[in-house]
Amino acid sequence: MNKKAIFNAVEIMLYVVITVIVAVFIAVVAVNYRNEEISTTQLETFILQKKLTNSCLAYTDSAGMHPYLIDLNKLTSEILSGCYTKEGFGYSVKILDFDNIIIKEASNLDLRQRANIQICENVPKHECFKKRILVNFYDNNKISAGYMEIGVINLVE
Amino acid sequence: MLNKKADAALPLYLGPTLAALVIVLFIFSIIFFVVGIKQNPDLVIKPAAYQDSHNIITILKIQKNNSTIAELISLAAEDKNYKNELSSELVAILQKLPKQKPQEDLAKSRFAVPSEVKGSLQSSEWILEIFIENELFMKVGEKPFGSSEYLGQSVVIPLENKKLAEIKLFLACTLCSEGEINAIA
Repeated sequence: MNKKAIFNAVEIMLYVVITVIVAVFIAVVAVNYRNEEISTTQLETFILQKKLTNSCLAYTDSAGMHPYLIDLNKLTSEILSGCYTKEGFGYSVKILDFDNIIIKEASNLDLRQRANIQICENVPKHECFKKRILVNFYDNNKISAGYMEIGVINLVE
Repeated sequence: MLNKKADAALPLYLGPTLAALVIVLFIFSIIFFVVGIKQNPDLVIKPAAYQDSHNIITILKIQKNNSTIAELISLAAEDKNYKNELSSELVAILQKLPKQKPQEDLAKSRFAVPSEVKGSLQSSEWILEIFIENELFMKVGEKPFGSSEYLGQSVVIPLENKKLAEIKLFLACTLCSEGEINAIA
């Protein structure tokens, strides 16, 4: 090989090495991006909260349905399971007064979820989220203000 | 094939070009792998973007001394004696509204990590404003210094005197992240 040919071979190798480095970099970034975890638990809790407060648990009288006025008689496990049920998704609903005393609670949890929700941080492939909102609740012909607390446990693959 | 001129030019440009490439890859590595810019903290669908006026509607329906807050606003617009009562009721209610979960601050930690420095500077306050015929009638809550407004809600209610009252509610928060806001939306 003459001097020019050797120079060309080194040059081509350099280009190949540079191209491989850039290609590997782009591939690593792309693979990481493709495997990005998108958590939907918070969003699902938001949708659940809207369904509970605006429909399933809303107090109804002759004037119609009153969103964000919770009828405590409707807060039962049967109504919750008929309201929103999804494989791997369980939740509990508590109504509390402003002193954080539980007025009533119900849940849509299976036995495993009921055990896991207490130790959620240590349970693999599960995500938990707790949300508290201001509501009025109707009980024994009396309207009082307090909180609705939704605790969610979600199986994430 | 390179000509003679290019043969001479290649070593001249190769060093700076390689150096530039290494610098670009280094900067991008920091941005992508250390800072993690690829991990967009924004949710695909943000609850805050879909929130309704539930807090303000609930507040207006809260019953105090056989009248709701909405009725108390109507009374206060007519009779100034009710204004103090309305103000104190609203202050008490706003303190009970859920806020973002505070981050651990420096007072509880021995190490000044960025999240705890941020936690120390973080403060939030619910602000409620009542406008009657576009004039400010009452403002409850003080905006923390340097705060931004989140979760804005407003409703218009008719008053006894045929005027309209617009009630606005928002969370004024310093150094609140979008994730924290979405959690309470």
